[in-house]
Amino acid sequence: MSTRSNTAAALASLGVLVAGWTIGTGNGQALAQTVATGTATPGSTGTASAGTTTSSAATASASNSTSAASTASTGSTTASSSATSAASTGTGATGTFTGDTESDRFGSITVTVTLADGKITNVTYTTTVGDQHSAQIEARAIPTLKARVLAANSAQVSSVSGATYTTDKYLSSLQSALDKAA
Amino acid sequence: MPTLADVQSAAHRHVFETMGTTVSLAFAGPAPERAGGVVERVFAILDRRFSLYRADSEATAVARGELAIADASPSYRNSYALAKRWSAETRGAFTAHRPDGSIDLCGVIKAQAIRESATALVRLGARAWCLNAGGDVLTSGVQADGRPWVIGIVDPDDRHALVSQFTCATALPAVATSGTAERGEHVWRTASAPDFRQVTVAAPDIMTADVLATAILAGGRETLEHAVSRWPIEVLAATTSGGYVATAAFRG
Repeated sequence: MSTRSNTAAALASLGVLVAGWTIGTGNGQALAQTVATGTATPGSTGTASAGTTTSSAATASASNSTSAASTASTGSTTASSSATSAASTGTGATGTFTGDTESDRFGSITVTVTLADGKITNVTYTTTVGDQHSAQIEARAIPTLKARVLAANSAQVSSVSGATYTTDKYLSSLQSALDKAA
Repeated sequence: MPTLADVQSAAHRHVFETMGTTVSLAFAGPAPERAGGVVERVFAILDRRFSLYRADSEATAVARGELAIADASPSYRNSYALAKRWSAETRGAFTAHRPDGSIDLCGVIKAQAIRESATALVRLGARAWCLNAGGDVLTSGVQADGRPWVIGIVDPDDRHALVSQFTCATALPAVATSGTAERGEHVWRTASAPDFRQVTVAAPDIMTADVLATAILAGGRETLEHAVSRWPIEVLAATTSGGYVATAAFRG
């Protein structure tokens, strides 16, 4: 998978995740809000966008900085955002931007977006467990991007757990391969 | 991303078809001679009694209203009571009834067969094995080389790949997964809008893992919160919006 499609996929998932924490706008708008808090830099007129992905997740697309900035200014989040390095080169912003921390009952997520001339080149995020006031249980299962789910180390896998489907009677071709190899 | 072909094979394996699915039993070392046959028999007995696709099964007679539960066999009544108890424990997310009101105990029977198989295996002296019945896995002991059993979790986006894995331990030897297109039709959603499309639960026993995977899939986040507070489990749930919700063991 290319870096670009990885980024697009991450963004798409991110858009969905962030949407869950925000005020119920569309996924793209929710992401735009997060991105905008970092890109509202004087002189910045860049456009950040991520294309449609091949995954089932939603398309994440940030609007131009003017409307995005206004979205941010009317947003309901209270955490401060920061731009660790930002400069206007060409027509778009360049730098690393950290968005507001978005929270819900499952925990919180803070997103950092790296832009090069207005284009998103990288997205990272940190997730935390819920605040100390929330019940212990609510902190235990938290939203995670697919890329952050513990990866399978195939060399160690001895059996496979999955839902059983009518369309492929056998659990999966993975278990089938395993049994044939025995 | 690992593919199906990468999966390690085990030296001693017994595979058979039952309950409309495939059972795969792997032993860490040489298997007791009768082990495979004994496990097949455990599944066959429960399949005969509880299969709704068998016209002559007790479950079919009950579902058709030809046999009252009070008049059913002790085995049937025990399983029915078990399913009802789990329904109450999960606040209705797990159910022993189809939407039309007829009784369907498929949700507990496979786990019951796995559990009874485990008892039989231990009795035969088999202490290190991995029993997989249609994607629900119970392990005992460790692999031949001393490493724990590791269970791959199927990627709901690509059923030929794994999205994660779980390393079994004495405290959590069982792993079960439920998906939205699951066969058997014992998953009905109680949430208005579905939260999850695939749910994997690792638990101290296979019944808890199997029932809670089904319940969380049906009941969504509310059931998930209840489950992780009530039982010592690990959960990996794929959301319908493309993300995941995971407890610590499933986070990289």
